[in-house]
Amino acid sequence: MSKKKRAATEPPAEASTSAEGAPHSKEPDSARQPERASTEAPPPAMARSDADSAHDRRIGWALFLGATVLLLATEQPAGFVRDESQYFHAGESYARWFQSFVSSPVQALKDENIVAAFSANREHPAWMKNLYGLSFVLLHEKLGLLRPAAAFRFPAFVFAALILPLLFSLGRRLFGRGPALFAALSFFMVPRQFFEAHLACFDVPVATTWLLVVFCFVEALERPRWWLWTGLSFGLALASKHNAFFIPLSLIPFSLWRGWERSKGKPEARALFLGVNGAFVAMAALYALMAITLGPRMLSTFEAISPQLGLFVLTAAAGTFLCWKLARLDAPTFRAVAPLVSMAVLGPVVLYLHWPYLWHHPVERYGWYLGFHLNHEHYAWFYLGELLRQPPFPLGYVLVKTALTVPTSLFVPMVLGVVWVVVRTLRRQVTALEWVVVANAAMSIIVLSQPNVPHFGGVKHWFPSMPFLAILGAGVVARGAQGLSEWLSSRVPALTERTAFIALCALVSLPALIQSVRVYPYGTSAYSELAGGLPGAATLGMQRQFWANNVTGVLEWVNANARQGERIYFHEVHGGMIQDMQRNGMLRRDVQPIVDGMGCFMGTCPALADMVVYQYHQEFRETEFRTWEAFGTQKPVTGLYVDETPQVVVYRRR
Amino acid sequence: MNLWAETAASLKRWEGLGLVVVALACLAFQLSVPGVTPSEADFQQAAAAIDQDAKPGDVVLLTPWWAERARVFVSEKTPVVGWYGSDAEDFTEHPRIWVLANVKAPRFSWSGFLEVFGPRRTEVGDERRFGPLAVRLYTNGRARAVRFSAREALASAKVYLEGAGGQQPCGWNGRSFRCPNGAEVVTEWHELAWQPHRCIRFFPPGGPTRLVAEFSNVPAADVLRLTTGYIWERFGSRADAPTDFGVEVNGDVQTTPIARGLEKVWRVERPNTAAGTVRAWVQAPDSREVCFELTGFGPEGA
Repeated sequence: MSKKKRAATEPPAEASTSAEGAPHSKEPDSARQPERASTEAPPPAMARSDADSAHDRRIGWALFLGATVLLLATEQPAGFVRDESQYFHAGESYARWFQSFVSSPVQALKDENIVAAFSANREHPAWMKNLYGLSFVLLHEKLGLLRPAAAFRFPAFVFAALILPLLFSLGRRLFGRGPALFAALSFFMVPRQFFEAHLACFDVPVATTWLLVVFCFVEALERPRWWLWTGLSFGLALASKHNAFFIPLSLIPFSLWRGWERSKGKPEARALFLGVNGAFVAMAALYALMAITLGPRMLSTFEAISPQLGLFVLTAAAGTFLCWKLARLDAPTFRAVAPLVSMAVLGPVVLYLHWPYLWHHPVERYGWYLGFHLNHEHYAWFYLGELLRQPPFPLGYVLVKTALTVPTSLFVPMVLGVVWVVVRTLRRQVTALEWVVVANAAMSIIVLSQPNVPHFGGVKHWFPSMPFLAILGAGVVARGAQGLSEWLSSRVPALTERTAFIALCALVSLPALIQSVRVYPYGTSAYSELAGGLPGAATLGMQRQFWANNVTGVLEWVNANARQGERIYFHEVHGGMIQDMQRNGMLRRDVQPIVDGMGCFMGTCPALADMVVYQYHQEFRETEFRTWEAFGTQKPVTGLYVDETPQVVVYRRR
Repeated sequence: MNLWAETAASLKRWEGLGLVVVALACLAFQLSVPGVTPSEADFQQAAAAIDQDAKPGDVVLLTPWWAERARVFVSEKTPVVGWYGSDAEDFTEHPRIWVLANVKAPRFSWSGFLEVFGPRRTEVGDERRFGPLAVRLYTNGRARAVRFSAREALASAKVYLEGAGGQQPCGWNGRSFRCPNGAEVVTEWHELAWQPHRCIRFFPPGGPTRLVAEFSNVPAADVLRLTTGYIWERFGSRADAPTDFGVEVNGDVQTTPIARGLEKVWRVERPNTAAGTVRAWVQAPDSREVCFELTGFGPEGA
């Protein structure tokens, strides 16, 4: 059935819930969506000519390259967070293994050599750390182009920069070019997101790969072969961070609904569609049955040749075969279901293949990885005057924290964007793409809001929601500009819709930009206008830093004032960070650093030192008071005070 | 145009206007933030003003509580205090309080501050301003004369372990007591529920044995206040049982069970205690980290 025919014959509800976007449509938007009055619908995505598409591609490349260069140019001040130094170390270890694989592959493939290289930070899959390590070898060791930290971080810049063109492309389908461009740019105007885009960690990369999966999924509903990219990108998402486990939850309903719709009146296609679903449902049921009957033996006997693995292989084969038949019978139904099958089959395959640590003992080691995250410890976290240490955590934590950290001029449109989709749903005008965006905006937030989920780490754990919220926010800005233009254009003829949109974008961006510039590189300390900025957040009793990167703020003073060989306790900083600071020229090599675990821990360390670099956290104050005791003074010699709030305080023995 | 379309068109306009208002408010806020930051000269002048008129026993209270940068500048002869909730503290040991406020800080208001700080305090002289900093002096109507301080009297105390086998004395080494079980009893800085306390380290030895500090010739007091709690995050322990903290005045015992698992400063007051011997003791089924202050006060307002 051609799109034109469908648009002409389908009832209004169907037309308004279609997921097709303009890029691949020949007919104008008005023909596809006859129900939409210009005032009722979001700004319609414009049908694109080849020239338009080429222009969009250029914009996408410009966004990507511009963002990469920006991140590279602003990298140096960004301090190393506690986890990052571990990932540097792990990445370097993995890269050495790849080097050994090139020189002696048989030897490298032995399990003991894989374990020796990949045991470092086995809590996370290896994909990004592989890239960090290989980038370090290439850009620092071989080519000498970048300092060590920048070389490690370069793949993180690339992944963060990818968010912009992906956001642009997805937003373009929904709201047109201008709002899409604003959505892309606004992602980097959130100070915490911009800061963490610099880090060789996983929170931004998993946001990128999540967005990539959704982008591919949306494309795959209409275009051939994109089911393959959906599966592969899901594999990359799984290989980036465990957040990706939740991606299918936000896509399955759309896929099933669309498959059901597309197979209407086609009994054979419907039967195959149900067969594909039945295969995976049966697999899930059999696994559940195994888990109940075998208990822990299910995992302990899960081997390369075992019924457990056989079940997966058989289901994957059955699903693939049925999909293949469906593709030959009815392309629209196939496109609805193929992305999910591809994700189910290729996701685990990519995860396994990319991570050498799993190669010899996949189930046991994967089980350890899952177990680590299912039983993750809870770190103390200051929230509205209360020190959260154990679950249950407040249900509203994620929403409150988001409201208090995302610049308010960007947060308000995001909220209105969600409300707008709800209203359009009630009006039965919503498009499937709008709901895909809302579902993915909500998924991480809903998952992380569960009271038993660890709540440390600021907002980074639900970063995958933020690109989708940016799209919804951009739609609201576009609609608001349209409203202002319609209202005022009779009085101010120069205020066209385009002018109003540009002006409104500039206006809502400006406060966010000012905040971003002022708080950088102390991104983990950023708070929005709603909080009253960082000082207001401190008054509210909010955690005002974490991850230890703010220590860079006093290193210049330490380097200038420390005596030769002075014993300095770097509170909350670990040995790996010290090494990284020294090898990147940020800390003098002649000082004697003392860190936790080097014969002391927290409160007992100040007594061993002549200088204490203390990180002000509510939960660590005992360390500061032990410093008073050890040094006989309560008077710091200097400190890092961001917007007057103490972050890092330096004491010196009298 | 149907009703919905009209409403939607109107909503778009209001959305646009709303975004303009929000953005302008945010812009105004961002432009105001640099005004929060006092210059070094502001701090130096404020510190000099305090230093010039400060008397022994005075305290400097920071408000907002996190405005700690002042510590770098204020003379050490006057203690500087500020913690979450410190606006509401009595500061019983301090007859005068210097309030050092950053009045430009977001969410700060004098009226909000005075609502909790103001009762039974009287402002002395005029406020002095140094950039965004304001200095005000208050007499503290909640202050009381200190007649006894266990931490000051520690060196003259008798400290011992008390169990089924009788007393095992702890020896004074000029700075602290060393007990037969290796424990040290000493006055030092510790955190109780995120607040700094100069208190006596007093770790219960575990089991039925008590650690005891006995003070003789303690003067009569209008109020004898015990301040205690678990140090830092040592409130968790294996046994569910609380730590019992006893204060005996001439044999009349009052026991405070310090519940396990709570980050809290325990303050227990005992009115009109007679002069004589005061025994403070602590006992818990397993090892805990506790410290305490025991202070005898005269009448309020002294």
